[in-house]
Amino acid sequence: MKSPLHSKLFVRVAWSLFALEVAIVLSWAGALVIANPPQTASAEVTGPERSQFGLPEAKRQELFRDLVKGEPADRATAERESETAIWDRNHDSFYHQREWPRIVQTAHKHHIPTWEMAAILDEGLRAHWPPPPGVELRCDDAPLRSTTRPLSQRPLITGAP
Amino acid sequence: MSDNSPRDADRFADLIDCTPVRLILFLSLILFGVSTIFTNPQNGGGTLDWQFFQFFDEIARKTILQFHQFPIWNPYFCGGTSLIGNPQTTFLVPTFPLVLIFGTTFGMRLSEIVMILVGCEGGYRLMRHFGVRGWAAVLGAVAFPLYGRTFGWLHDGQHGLHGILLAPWILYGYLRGLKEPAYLVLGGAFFGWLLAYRGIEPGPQFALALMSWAIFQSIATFFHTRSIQKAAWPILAGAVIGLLGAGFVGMRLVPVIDLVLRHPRVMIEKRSFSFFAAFVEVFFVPPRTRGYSEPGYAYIGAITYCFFVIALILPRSRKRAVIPLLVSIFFMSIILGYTVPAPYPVLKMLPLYKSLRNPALYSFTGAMFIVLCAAIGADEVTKWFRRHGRVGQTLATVLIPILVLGTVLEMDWRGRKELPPNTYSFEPVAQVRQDFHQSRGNHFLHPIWPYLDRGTLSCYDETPFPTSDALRPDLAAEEYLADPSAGDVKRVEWTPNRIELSANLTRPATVLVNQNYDSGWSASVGLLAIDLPAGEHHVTLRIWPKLVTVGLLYFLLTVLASIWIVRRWPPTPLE
Repeated sequence: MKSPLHSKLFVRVAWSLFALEVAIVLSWAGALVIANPPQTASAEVTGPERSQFGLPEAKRQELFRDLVKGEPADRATAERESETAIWDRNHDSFYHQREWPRIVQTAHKHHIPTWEMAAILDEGLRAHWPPPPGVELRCDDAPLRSTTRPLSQRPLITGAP
Repeated sequence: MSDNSPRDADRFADLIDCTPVRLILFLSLILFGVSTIFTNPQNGGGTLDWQFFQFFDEIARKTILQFHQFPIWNPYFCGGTSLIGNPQTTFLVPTFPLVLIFGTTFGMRLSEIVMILVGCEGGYRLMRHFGVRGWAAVLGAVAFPLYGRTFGWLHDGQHGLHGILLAPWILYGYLRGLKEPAYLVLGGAFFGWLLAYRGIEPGPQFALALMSWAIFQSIATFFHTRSIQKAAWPILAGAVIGLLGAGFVGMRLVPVIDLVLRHPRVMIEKRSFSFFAAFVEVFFVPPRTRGYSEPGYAYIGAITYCFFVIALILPRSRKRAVIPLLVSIFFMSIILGYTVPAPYPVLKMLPLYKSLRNPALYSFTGAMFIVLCAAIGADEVTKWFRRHGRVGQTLATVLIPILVLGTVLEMDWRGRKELPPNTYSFEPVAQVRQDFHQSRGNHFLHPIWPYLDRGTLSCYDETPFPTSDALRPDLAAEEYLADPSAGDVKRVEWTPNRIELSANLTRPATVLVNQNYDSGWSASVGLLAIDLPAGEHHVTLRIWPKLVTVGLLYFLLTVLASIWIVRRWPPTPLE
């Protein structure tokens, strides 16, 4: 004899409850996204101070200088501790591992989001803003070659800075 | 409880046999375990892996929603690489609409909920196929999708490895397909899903599992029937699932295979594990620390493991679970790595398998077979209890549910602890719409660049993508003339897969685009480039690799073949 648990009515009610549970999950997700919408920012440069992201160009240049002053030390570390003799992707990877916390920390120091600091770094390199005295910026003499380093060669920093 | 008669257990088995009832149970368990997912929806995961996979999904999302193109090319990575051929991407799967609708990072997390739910349901159907009912079936359905790796991946951000949770569906399709070939289409469809969901690791692993199952099944069939023709069918059915699965995602898989074979992943790991670690610790010991190779890496619950041992010992369950037991032991042997001369060292000599890392990772496929054996073991123990008077019936009605419920809740609770509130700690990145440029970038801050419309020349992937030495991160214009005095070139429109330029030249010149060349683009001198004669030109550079067309044809053939199979051998409905 067929179990009453498999009666059409029971199954229909059960499906309705499952649909309700899914609907609640999706509504919850939707409400979260509505309450926390994705951020947008305009890249437009405005006014006589050439402001972008609410920062005048002079301020962005100051932040840029503050950020890149740590480059020579990080590059020296990368060249000293990385296993290849020429500047290649191995060096590049190791250098950027050192650069990553520097970007995050400089952003926090100046109370701007990390992405904005990254955008300022990009702008500075593209516009060839002058670095602080004694800092040589390198962005076009570091060809990347397909020499992805094998795994387990060097420990990586695992947590966020 | 009024009495401890088998009717109580049957009532529960009947209740849980009702699909929506168990889906409610599974979803509730999952939501409890992964509730952290519903925090900070715009934040990325706090680990580099989360950020790496967010990067690729964001680019696929951007390509579809902003540029209305199919994700073929990824100009944001390493100066331009194949997106459709990158084995790490996860965009051609049924859950990707969640990423499109809810945003990349949140959509990725929601996708994982769907995967776990689908995995639980597949597990239950597989258990029922083996005649496992009631609480034992619940254990078999849940212990694999809620195992240690599920939560470990959610925390660590190995998005896409959850594809292995589809394995029970594939096996279910295969086993039913042995009698009703239409079910091979079902198995193939789920195998395709697994392959497209970053299948670089789970794909070859499950193919190996299916192949070994098919071989064991063939041997068993031969001993029963003494017919080579009948014995060949299990292997043929496995091959059909493989071909259909590959075909369903052929458009992506053909370029992936081409890329993986042309640029094999660089792996020099030579890990080994002791017998105790490979056969016991990985699955049995509750995880204490995170990381590959740690005890409890693929924790399935201590009780589940005990039922597996019982399945190994009890003659009845050993008979029922002979093939899953053999596959389980085979996968445990792989985990030994270089401790023994085979099977891992042999696998490492094969194409595709040689690019898979760390033998401990095979535990996440092996776990499914161990759980299947455990469920059969639990079912046999239940039956054994029932055959032994009132005390036995009481144990069957009380002890087994307590053990199963305890295991399920313990795993859910452990998983919940694996996902602390700071799991999603990467601060949101604002979408800044501007002209695309290559930047020096930084691959430790992967997710930032596509939101800023910047490619990152600093990049890292296990696949050693070839990159041009001529790429520059500081150009005012990404399209320029090799000889600037020959005239000028301007960008008319830029999209990932198509770049339109206008050029006005006083003499023949080469127009360079600051991106890598790859097959499928119109012309190349290392960088994406085109030679033009003097005069005014409107140039369109497009990418559409031939292998994508080959894959598309393979997909269409697969669809036609699937329709033919289903019509030729109409299936009985799913239970």
